[in-house]
Amino acid sequence: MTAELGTMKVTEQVDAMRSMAADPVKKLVVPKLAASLFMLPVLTILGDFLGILGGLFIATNQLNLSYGLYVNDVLQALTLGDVLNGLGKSVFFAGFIAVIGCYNGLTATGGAEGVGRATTRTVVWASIIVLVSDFFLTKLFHVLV
Amino acid sequence: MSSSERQPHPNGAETLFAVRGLCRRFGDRAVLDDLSFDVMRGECLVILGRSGSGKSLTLRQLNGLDEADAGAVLFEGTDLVQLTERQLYPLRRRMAMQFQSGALFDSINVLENVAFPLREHHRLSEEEIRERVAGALAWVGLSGIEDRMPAALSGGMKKRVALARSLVLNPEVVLYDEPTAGLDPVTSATISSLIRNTQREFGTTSVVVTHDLRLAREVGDRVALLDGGRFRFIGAWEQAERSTDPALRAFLEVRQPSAKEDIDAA
Repeated sequence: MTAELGTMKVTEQVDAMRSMAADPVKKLVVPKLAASLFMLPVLTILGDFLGILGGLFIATNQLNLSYGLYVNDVLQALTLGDVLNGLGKSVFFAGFIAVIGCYNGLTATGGAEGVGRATTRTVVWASIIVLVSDFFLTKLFHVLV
Repeated sequence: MSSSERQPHPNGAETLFAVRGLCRRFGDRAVLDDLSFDVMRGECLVILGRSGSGKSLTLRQLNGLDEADAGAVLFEGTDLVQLTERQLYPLRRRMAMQFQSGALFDSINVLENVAFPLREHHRLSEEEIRERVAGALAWVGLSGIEDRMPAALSGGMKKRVALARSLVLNPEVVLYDEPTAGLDPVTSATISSLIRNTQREFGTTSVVVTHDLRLAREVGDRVALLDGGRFRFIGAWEQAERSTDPALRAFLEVRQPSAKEDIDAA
């Protein structure tokens, strides 16, 4: 997101949009934010599923557990609250990542080097915000769910 | 695009833009320092100046793309400096800006690039959009390239497609930022005649920022030299040719200014 918007910014494409009386936030940021809010929970579901599948692979191949035992244990240990907790947090993370990514992209200056710096800034800030907010969101969802 | 949609304006004395005491600083450096000038409706004003003299910045002030620290940019009496981004939109719909690089959206094809302002501001059928895009592309001599991506175009073609995108809404004002920079002389001549023909055919008011003296002479009704944050000269070409101002003479005769002139200019 930052690389794409940053490149558009330094090559005057964002200014071109503004000069045509089109709002870059509406045209560029909103679709990316909406896509992130929708797709990150989907990605989380996929990640959860692959995680369980990976566990099954290790359990059956390395630990010699049976398929049925593993699946039964997973179904017993996993609660709806766990799943909702993870999905709920992913919506917040999506918002943070998209807003940070788009902000850094649209404020990038200084050509290709500036786009590189903006992208690094996004990775650093998004990682920190996700790590810190994860702590508070987990507490919050434990209370709510 | 048809010329009958808009009547050419007479090259009269009606002021369209009135810039008064415009200042823009970056840190300690005043790039624009108490700049004042008028742009008349229907004319083509060419702004010359050395690299970094603030020509592009001046152009960006005329449609509010950059903020000012002091002064006023009056467009038909409305001060653009005082307007918010959203309040500028109705005025920007009447203007078009041609960026130095073309600034085509590189993720969409030529058709969608040229159609962008149409889709943004008009409710037209797909057929009408295609027709108007084809008309605009024909005007710049690039018919049939609707499906090409910007990356597949040459520098000159990009600028012409950008010009088509600028003209598709029939703007009253076109602001050109270095329209021939980086182009060969033949393509530059094509762009020059397009600018001139557009102004004559549609009666647009044009402000052209350039280093290209050939372009400036071909399209400009008046010429201005930006130096030290304000216009050192502004007037008709005949006056410019007769001027004894050393900085203007150095620019027009393409010679190295003397050390004293250089210091004076700074």
